Amino acid sequence: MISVLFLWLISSGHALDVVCTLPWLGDLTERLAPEARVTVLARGTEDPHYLSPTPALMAKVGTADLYVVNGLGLELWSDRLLDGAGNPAIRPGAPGHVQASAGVPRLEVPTELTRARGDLHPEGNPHIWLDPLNAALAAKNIASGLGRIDPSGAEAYRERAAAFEAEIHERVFGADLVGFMGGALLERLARSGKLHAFLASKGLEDRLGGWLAAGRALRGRPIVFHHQSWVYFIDRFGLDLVGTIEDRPGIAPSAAHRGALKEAMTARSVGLIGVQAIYDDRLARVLARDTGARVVQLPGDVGGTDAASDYFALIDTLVAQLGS
Amino acid sequence: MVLPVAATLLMAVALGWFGLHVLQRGVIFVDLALAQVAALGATYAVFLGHEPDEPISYALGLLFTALGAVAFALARHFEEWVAPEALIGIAYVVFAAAGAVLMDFAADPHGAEKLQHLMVGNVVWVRPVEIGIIAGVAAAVGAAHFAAREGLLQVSFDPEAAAAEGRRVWLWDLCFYLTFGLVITTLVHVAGVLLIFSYLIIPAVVGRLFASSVLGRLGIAWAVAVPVSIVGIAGSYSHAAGPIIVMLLGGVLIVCLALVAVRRSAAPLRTVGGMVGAGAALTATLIAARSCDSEHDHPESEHVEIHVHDDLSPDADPATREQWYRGHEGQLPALKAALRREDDPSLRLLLAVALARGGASEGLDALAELAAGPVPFLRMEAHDRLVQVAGGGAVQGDPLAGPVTGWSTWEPPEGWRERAKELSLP
Repeated sequence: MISVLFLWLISSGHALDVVCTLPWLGDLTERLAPEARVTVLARGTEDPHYLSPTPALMAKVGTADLYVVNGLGLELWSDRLLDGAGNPAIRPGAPGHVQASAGVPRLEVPTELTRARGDLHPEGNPHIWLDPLNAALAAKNIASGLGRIDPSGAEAYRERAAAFEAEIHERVFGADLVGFMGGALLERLARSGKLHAFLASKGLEDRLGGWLAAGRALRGRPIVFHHQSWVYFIDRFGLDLVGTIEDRPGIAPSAAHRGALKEAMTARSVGLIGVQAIYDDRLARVLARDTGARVVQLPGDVGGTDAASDYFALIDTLVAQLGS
Repeated sequence: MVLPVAATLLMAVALGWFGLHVLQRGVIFVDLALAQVAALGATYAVFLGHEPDEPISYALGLLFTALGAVAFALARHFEEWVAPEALIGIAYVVFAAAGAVLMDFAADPHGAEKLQHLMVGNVVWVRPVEIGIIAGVAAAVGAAHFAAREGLLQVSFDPEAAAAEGRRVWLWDLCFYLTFGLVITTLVHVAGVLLIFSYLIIPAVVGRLFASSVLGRLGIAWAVAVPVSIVGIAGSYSHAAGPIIVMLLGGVLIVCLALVAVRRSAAPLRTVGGMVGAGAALTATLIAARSCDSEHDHPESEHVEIHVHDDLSPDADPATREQWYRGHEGQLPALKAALRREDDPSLRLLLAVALARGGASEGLDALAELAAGPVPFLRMEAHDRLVQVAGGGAVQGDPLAGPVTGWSTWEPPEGWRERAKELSLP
């Protein structure tokens, strides 16, 4: 009698407990699994490289069904957190562990590994989510993970991931062009850098919509960023990166670098310096004063600024701020 | 270059003088504690929502330092029960922790970075207005100290005599610590706690090693600090200047200590031999450590790896598949096999055209399927090529208006393969 009651209780489907390391992962997970309880470890206003997990967060991780991490060495604290939480179901390699960046084409994979270049990420630049096309890939990875721990819902998760991909394609290329050419072809062209030439050769440039059309001003625009987190955004939107203030990530820049940057900025007429809201913009302001450029505060993730309330708003904000 | 050198020279001169007193009074850690109190004041300002370089941060830093100075001046009263040095060391640690807790509560995303700045500073990026303030404060305090130098020196070097002469020692102490705190608070934003401590103590220690008069010690202290500042800034052009200066000062001290040890030793050659031996042992250990294999394995990553042999992996991403198909044009069996597996309609177009060019009718079948498919652009591409292959007997239809189904029942005429060779790959 008791065992029947017990079996009934555990089979009546409790809501999934999902822990995500970064805000954009939480946003995607909520879209794929609206009925799940999603906890996000880092705040959009914090630097995701560093996190001091509090006991409260560790407890959450301890009881999680699914653990979603960006990977590629971004969350240096994640392994320690998993060790401490002692939850075998979500360790790397276990079904409850999702590396969102799996299968995403990586940029800035270093050809030689040396600490002389600062805290380099040996597997490539990890800030993959700033290219919206990568968010669609990540959503598929998260949906696979959800399907592994909740097989009854696997079909629904896959469908929602496909719907998210379709929405991403429409937001990137515009609904018209996606309807005409198909998102897969457009994505392939965009990733190989041939999109604009292809559209021009077929006379389809005017039909481009979405963020790529709204971000026309970004194509070829010279810019300086504070930290090297923008390579995927730059790849998608065609910005011309003149330099980064942090010559070597994680190490204060030297006087030589400051001089070289100022020269390059003047030579290439750089009018804009982008600094993520999580960083101190003191150095950027000094450089701006030296060169007459303008400093713009950018969200690096969902919740990074008030305007970036969800993933689509994040990209909207970035396109708007960098195109102005 | 000029600005950072000016900043460090001002620091060297001002702190060299204070260092003399601090060493004599035996309150080494008062500098660290006062710098930490100043930093705590700035942290409190940040907690209230201000930036570290706003005037309010400076003002709060001064206020906190003044309170700290009063407290340290009074520490002498407890000398019977607790060494003042112990109280001061405790104060340093407690204030540092208080700063960390404040940052935690402030939930400031820059919190840790700002705290780190207060420790390390950033001498290279100093602004002209900051130099101006430092110079002004140094000049004012310098003038005041010069005027009162007799009393100050006596209270530091011989407090009993000062008391006997009727000086109010506690008042002199207070004035010393207040002016000291003012200088440190002014410097802490630019130079950081570590650099301030180094400029204060190390040149003064070297001075004590080689001279006994106040002027002699001061002269030597300045003679050490000034060249190190210039060399440090100039030599660190591509690296972090502050820590390099600290290490240079430390290095100078080690050399001076070695010199003194040899000079005062009864058997100088043996002393030199001992030092060389110790140095060699240390170097050998470091070299041996370098050749040890690292136990730390590179963590397994989950990403998909594309192997460099010729088979196309089933997990390959679209770009890789496209490359592979283009690279294997003419290898009809491989392309036919790929066509059976490929889901992406735009890649199916590529395969279909490649097969048609090679004379395989599977290519035409796939083109017909695409011409009747859901994607208008692909319908257009497929239909246009089929029209080219068909020559005169083309199926009528507008691919942009909707699916063109006629191609599925169309029979390719004789000679289609010749025309198909002219097809352009998408």
